[in-house]
Amino acid sequence: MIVVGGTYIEECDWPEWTRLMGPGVRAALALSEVSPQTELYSYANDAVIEDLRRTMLTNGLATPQVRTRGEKVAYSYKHPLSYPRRTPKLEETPDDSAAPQLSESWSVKGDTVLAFRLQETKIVVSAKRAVFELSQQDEEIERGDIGKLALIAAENDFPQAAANVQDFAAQTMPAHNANLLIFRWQSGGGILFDGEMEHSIPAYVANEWFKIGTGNIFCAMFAHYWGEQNMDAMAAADLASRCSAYYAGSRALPIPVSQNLPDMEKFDPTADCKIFIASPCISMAQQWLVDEAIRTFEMLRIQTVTPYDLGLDGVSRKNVDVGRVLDGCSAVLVLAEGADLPSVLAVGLALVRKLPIVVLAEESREPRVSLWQGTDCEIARDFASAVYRAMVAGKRRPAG
Amino acid sequence: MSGPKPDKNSPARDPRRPVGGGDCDQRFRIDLMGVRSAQAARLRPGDLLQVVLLYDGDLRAVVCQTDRAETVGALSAFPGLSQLIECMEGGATYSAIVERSSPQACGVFVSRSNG
Repeated sequence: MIVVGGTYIEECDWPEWTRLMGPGVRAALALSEVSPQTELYSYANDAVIEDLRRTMLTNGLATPQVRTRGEKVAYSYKHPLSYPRRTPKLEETPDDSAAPQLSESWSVKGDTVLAFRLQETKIVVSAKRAVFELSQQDEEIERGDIGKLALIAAENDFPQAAANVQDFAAQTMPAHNANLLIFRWQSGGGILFDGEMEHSIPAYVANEWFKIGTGNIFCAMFAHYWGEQNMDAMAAADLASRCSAYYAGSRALPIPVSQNLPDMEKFDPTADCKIFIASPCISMAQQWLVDEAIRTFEMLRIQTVTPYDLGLDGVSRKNVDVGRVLDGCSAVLVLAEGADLPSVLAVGLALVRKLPIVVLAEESREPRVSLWQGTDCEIARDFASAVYRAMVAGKRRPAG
Repeated sequence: MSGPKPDKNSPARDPRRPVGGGDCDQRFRIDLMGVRSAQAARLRPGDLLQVVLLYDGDLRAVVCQTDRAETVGALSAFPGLSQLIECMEGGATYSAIVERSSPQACGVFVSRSNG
């Protein structure tokens, strides 16, 4: 397979993580076990081209086809569910004689081609089977001579489309003359449009949720199973979803052959749920964490009940019956180890109601964590995984 | 992971090249690539691994090995890989402390062990 995609430095603070990745590198590495003939076409800065070349060779892949870009580009995340910060900012990118102008396209031809958008140039793809990841700048991937084309779009890139995915597919597929379109949900899984047919792609449960690049893994594995192995599109999408959850839970590359994937449970990513957020909410740091959880759940289109709703931020509310509020929730997320009395009381009420409870405890030696032992509460060690585990627990137990 | 093996013909250390030097004092946290399940499943947080340079013709790869010289996985896909290889060829040695491990994955903290 040929993979076209960017090479960037990716950094995350929580969990701590620094890699030479980007969509192209990640997809190529993911494929290195199931498709060792994979070849990467990418742009990279001089400072990392040798690192990239050695990485591909170490993992049994061919020497990559690399064009030079002028500046080193990094994407930095506070946590895997945050918006990344690009360095340099796009408006700071200098006119760069080392990088061809956008009008100078890069023609790529192969039996199977997976194309992610390149920031530096247009791509013209010719292939027997091709997979394009759509972005808002999708005109930067052009259709050459293609036998069958699958498009993959992500909810976070097309949030407005999520409200009516059928309309989005009806407009997008003819515009690209595509045979298939997959719309991936943020929480996992998605919808496959195969001509007139529509299928739900299940989401798989991961123990942790390192979301950075999970979409790249989905695209890579779908391109392998559908594009290279000629597998039925729904079976290929199901496997791609499993592989994506495997990566989110392990951060492990390459992705193993399907027989060696561990068993994973499914959940319905479209199920409604409401999460009760229990947390101290007085100091700025506490409110920042609560706000980040609220923002993240909103992004995942999940309703929440927060300490603000209960008057726990110092602004009193009248007639709030926490027990009745919990009756309408599907799961509880406890932040800051539930280090305040209202959180402990809320958890007690949630336990009586047999609600699933996920506790964020970043510091394993924190003595307060012992509070939760023996209570069937899940302990998550990073913010993104805590949010994800609460979401999964909630979707498996819809709000009453 | 495929390819490189320990090579009897690996270049000897260049005696003109100092073992010290700030550029070689790399310390970083990373997940290994191409983890071998059997080896990784036996590891526990705190276990010490050796960082070893393997040769296969022109190809050089950096791997983490147990004290029984069993490869657990490779160090790759990070900015500074080439620098690390140059430093190891210059005589710098590194070790890795296991921070998390399972049959699928192994996270380590790499730091210099000489110089």
